[in-house]
Amino acid sequence: MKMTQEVNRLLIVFLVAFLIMLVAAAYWAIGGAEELLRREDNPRLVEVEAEIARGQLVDRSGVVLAESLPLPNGQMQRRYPYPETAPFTGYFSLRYGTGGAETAYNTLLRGDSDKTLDVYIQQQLLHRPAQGSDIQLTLSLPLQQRLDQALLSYRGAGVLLAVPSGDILALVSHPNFDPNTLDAQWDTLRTADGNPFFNRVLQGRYQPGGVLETPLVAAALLSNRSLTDTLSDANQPVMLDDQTNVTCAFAPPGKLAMTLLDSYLYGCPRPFVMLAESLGQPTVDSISGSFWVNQPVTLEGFVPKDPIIATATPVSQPSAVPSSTLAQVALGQSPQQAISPLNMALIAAAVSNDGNAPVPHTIQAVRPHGGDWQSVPAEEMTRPFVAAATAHRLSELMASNMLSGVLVTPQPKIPLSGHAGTASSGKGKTLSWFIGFVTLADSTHIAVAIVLEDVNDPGAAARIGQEILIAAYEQPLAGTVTPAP
Amino acid sequence: MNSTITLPALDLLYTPPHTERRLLLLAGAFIGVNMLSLALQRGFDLLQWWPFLAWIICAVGGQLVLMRLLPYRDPLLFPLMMFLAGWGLVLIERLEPPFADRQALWLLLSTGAMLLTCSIPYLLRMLRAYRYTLLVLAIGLLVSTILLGVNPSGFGPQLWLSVGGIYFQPSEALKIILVVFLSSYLSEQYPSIRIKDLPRLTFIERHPWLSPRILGPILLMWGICVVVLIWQRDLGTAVLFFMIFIVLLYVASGVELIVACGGLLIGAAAVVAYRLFDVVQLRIDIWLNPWPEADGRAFQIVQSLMAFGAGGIIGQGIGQGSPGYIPVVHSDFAFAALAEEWGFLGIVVVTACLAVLVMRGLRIALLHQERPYFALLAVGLSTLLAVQSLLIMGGVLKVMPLTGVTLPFLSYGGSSLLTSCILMGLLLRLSSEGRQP
Repeated sequence: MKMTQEVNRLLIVFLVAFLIMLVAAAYWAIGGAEELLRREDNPRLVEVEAEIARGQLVDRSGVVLAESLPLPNGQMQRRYPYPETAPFTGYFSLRYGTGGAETAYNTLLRGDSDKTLDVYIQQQLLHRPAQGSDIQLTLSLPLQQRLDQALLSYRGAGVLLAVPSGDILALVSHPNFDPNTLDAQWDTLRTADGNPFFNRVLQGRYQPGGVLETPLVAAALLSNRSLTDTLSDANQPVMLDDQTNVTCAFAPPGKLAMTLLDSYLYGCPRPFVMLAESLGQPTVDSISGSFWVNQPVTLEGFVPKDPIIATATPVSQPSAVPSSTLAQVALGQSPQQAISPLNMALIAAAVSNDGNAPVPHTIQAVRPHGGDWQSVPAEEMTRPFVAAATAHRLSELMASNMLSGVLVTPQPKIPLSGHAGTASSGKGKTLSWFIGFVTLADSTHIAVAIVLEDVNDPGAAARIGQEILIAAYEQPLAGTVTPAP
Repeated sequence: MNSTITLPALDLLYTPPHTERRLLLLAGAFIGVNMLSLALQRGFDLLQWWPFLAWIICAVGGQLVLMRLLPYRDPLLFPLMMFLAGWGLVLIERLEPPFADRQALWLLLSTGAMLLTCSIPYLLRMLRAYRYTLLVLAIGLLVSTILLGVNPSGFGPQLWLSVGGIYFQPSEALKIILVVFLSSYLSEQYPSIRIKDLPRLTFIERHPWLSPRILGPILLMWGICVVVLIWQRDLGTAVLFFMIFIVLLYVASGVELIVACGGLLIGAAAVVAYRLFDVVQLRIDIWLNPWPEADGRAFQIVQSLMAFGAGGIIGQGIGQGSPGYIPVVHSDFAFAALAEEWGFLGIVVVTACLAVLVMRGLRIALLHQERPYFALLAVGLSTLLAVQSLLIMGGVLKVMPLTGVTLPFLSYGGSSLLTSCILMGLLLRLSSEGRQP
């Protein structure tokens, strides 16, 4: 019989078909693998992620703020013993990603930066979960807790900076969230009143309002204006538009013949509008620029560039006035002006530090898995805001503010400097703020900025600022030497 | 055509003596190492070694019996079969440990059935003599499945018959019966349909597929396939049946037109089925573009492809991947699980083993060219093995729509293993037939 040809053809067809299967398998296993594995619906990604032993976050004296503990199923659970540090540490969630320091130092915490052969063998061949590095933050837990307590009944923010190192010692944003229960409460938190995910210190864009008085006084000093001339009608309010009627932050005694200095203390708007008019628009813009008033400062990496969460619209919408007048600019109420609490703290820091603002700094040291702490030095560079002589004069003015009995009573026993005021945040609402600093024994400083939303009481902000500055003064900062592991 | 052409299928593999034993040892070493690796990960448990013990009993016992029964058998068939079946056991032990114990029992039973198949003298002739009885039996099985069929999992196509708590899939047995029936029928008709070499001139003689002798079984087969498809929603078996039939008819008659017509018929059936049956429509839709429905209807195939991606070249290693994300991975998607843990290399080895089995089967067909029944039987059995493997591999790899057949020897399933082993028994018998000096 002669079926050889048919059988041979059949064989060739089968062999070619098997070969096609191998080509297809090679395509999915080798060529197209990368794209397949990166798909968001690949459950292996979550599994690998869940097994990573993420590094610890510790405060400047070594207290653990975030750690990953193994569950019985081999996955890791992120735990935050001090949820009040959440505005700084952020959160880590398999479902919702990361925020805050967890985002900024994600690569180190995950151990992604280690690409040695040993790591490859451990992880790729032996399937050991990745081990991340531990991170020591600049945060001081006692100060953070103190500031958190002080702000507890308010909606607002506060930030504490060491000068000149730029170390962020405390960073509070209220309302806050508990990163331990993030997954369960996500939907509630997203729609919660006041938006707890909105980090007011970093993302808040507030109208500067009376904050601008400090730069304006600096401009007056620079152009040799007299600060002590008596001014008429100094305590009269300024009508910016139908909705915005700016008055003195603190009510001055009725019979006082006010000078520019008094206006600075009481936060009265009228003399500053007159000052701005006599200085002219270019000078006002220039001094605002040199105090970085129109450039919101934030912390690199802390706020996700492409946030999954709604990073919310600014809590304080600039008032809807199409064009800004010089009066609006002078009073920090122009639609173009927006400032973060971190900016405000930098203004106080610059005044304390010969006119030079530090660069905010968040990390003190890194400890690779199984290694020793390696310190991460702060940037030496500072940003010049104003000349040293002017800064010294401003510093004196701010110190006398604190001693006047207007901002806080009784007078503080340690030498504090500060300035408080209000800003109109649109729709008839007012926010109160305070900036200030204290000089420590080693002639370094600690600067603070406090913002309280919908509170027309700058004294409240000043009291909180005073409390935290005294606490910082009395409690020597730990962590100047990196702790032993 | 010219019959003096060298036959590639005949000379491709030279097999030295003792090949069988050495190959079995190699297979045992591979399976043992994998079992050991699993034991190291899970902790030692004597019961866990039961599948491996069952495999050793089958391998050693099978070899001893075969030495005695069929000294002139093909020496590659048995070791390759045991290698794949052992790998299948390892895979099931890793994926669904309780199922592995049952599968090991089925392996013992199936190896026994295989030895029985190749030990009965005159079995092949008996099968030919009683082919109509077999056909009636087959149709009876089909009808009873349609009437009494159940699904052990309680949902899905009802392709199983339950006898005293043991589930059996009659379509598995149908495959073998079909091949036996067709080979014997076509070998009887062989002289009259093999017109290529006989220059006869009447129209009906030059176009013998138009005669009722050929047209009859074509329509019968087509009818069976349609019944399987309509009543059982068993796409894979329907396609498999029809392909075997076309291949056998082509090899018997030598008329290429049959292949073309068969291809057209499958195409036409696909178009009609696409419009009529939602199951076919679903399979074709998610084959053409699974990505938009990756977490819905196409979940299984997308997860399967991810398993291939996760496996890469060398695989994650046994017990180290996550093939469990693929639903019913141990039966339909055993190939994908294998890809994740043994990688592309594992896929190459399994594909090569199946291809060699098919090659040896076709080689056996060429050895029996003077006996059309044996030759066609060998072609039919090899085709069954090849087409079934290709259907599921192609489906899992998104080369063709998923048809839901099992991967021979590797997938979990007692009926499937039993059928594949009986198939090997028949091939072993054929390979030894007429080779006694």
